[in-house]
Amino acid sequence: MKYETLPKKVLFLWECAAIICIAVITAITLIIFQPHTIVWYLLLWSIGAVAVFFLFLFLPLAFVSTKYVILTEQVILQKGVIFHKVHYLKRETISFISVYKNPFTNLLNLSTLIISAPGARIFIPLMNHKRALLIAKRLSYQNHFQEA
Amino acid sequence: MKHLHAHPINILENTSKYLILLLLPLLRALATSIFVWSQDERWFYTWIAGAWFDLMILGIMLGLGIYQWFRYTFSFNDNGIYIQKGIFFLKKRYLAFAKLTAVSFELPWYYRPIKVVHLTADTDGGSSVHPDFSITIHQSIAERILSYSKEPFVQVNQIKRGYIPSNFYVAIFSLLTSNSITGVLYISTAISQVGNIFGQDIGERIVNNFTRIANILAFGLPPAAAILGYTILGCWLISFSINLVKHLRFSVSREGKVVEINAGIFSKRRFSIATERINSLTIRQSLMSKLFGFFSVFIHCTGYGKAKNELSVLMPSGEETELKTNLLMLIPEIPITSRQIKPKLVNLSRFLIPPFTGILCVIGGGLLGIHFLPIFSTTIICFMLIIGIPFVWWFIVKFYSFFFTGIGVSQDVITIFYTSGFRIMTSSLPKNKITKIETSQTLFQITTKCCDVTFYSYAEGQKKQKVVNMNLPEVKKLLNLTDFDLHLEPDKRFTLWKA
Repeated sequence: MKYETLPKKVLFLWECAAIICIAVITAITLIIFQPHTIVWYLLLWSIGAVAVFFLFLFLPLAFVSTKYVILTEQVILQKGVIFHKVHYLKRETISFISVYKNPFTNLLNLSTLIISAPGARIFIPLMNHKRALLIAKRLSYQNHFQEA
Repeated sequence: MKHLHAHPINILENTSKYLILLLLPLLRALATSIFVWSQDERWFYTWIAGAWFDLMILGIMLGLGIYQWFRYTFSFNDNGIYIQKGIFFLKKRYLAFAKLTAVSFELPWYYRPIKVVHLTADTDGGSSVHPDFSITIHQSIAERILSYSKEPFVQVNQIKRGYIPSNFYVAIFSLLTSNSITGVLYISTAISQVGNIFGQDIGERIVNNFTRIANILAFGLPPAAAILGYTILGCWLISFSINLVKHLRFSVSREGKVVEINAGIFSKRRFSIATERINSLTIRQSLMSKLFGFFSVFIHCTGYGKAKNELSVLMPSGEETELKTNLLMLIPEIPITSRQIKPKLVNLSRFLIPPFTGILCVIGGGLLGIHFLPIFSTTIICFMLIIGIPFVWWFIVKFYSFFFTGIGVSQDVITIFYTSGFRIMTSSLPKNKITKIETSQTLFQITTKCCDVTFYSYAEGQKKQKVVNMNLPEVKKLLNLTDFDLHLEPDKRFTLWKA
């Protein structure tokens, strides 16, 4: 059994959001600053460098580094690029589970799973909605899961 | 069951915050009317003509206070407390005594003649800021609730064990836990309230007089540095005095599964804590207390240490052997294990880089300041010393931290050794109270297989404790953290769904 990763459309969503943000910042820069000055060129080159970094390096790495697995005794979540974190949450301490959606993620059939325990939480962002509901249901009834 | 109200004094408590700001000016105006205009027969009507609006506001505030008192009722039996709040929108709550984590009551010095206490009761659920039940009642009722709350945890004829530290240790504890920030808050609130009640010029006069005295006692130091120094010292002294008075006559006792803590000389406080609800036990030291061999023990339990400026102390201070003996007597369920893994030598620099960077920044900033503002060089040097000394102290603490940091595991508990700021902490967490363990690595830590380990324990909000710069494979092996890339035993696998 392997770690589960997020659906590929999550990377698509992140890349689209990043492109929109970069486009807005570029447009503001082009409007506000005097064209063909040193500051103008500096800002545009910086935005370009940040865009390349985020679109081709950081976001793909963030997508690949986010993975989770549900075991008999614990839930493990790994995520983070610069600060890579692994969360080990004991299943017996789980208090409740929440599944969150918003209008944008609803279009792509994605939702966020939040597993809450006293004093701790795990956020699994942008999972497939049906998978999130299934995990939530099974974690809520711990005696009803199927062992391999 | 008969529903009881809070003590009528609660009406004033509900309004006291704003009442005093309105009442004192009104009384001042009335006194002026009586003594200055007493010759005039109509002095009372003159006063009313000027103060009618304030009197109306006062009436509304008192009315709201009475309404708040009337709508909040409670009752109790040997099972739990039933709380009812509201008249039109009714809210009912039931707190079972068996689920309570801590019950406390405080007898403030100004209520001692009428024997009225503030009672609070808390559980692991509910708000992380406010207790689940809080009320002002007569001491006899509070005593009955307290005895009922202990019944699920205390068998008949159980031995009671106690520990009473000497006042010397309480003073040491107050010395170690006092800080200037608390004193600043008290002073600034007091000066601000004096200004609100008696006029802003009085508050300004206090500040100006203090500045004048600090200038006289500067002893050659620049005035700004002297004022800052005396302010820090004065605020620390106030904080120390408050802590000392709060914790004098401190005593701890254990009966069955209940730990009872008493403290205070003017305002008496009493806490009843279920031992199975204690989430962690922490031994705190500073570098100075470490040198002199003093320890302080704190516990983390929902409801204890929640009130403003309240410390969740179990044993204020003591020497090592005395502390270990008493801990074994009071809470043998949470022992302290020895360190089994520690940071590698290659990671020493990670401990020292943050304070060293701070020292360099202070020196660099100071030198730049002296270069650009040579007329203030003496003042800048003083400020460099004031800001730099804590960084140097921090450097020493972090150097010691390398030799102290670690993790140990026994059958029932995990003990972690770490430093937090200037404090040296040894924390024992029962395994069944740990909800999450988190390992984190930066890009630089990956090269040396170094990681930070964070332990999350039971709490209403979030309670975490971090051990830094540990070796990742050793941590995984010691804490049995599954590495799914490695081979996994078949009985540990499971699938949630069929393929």
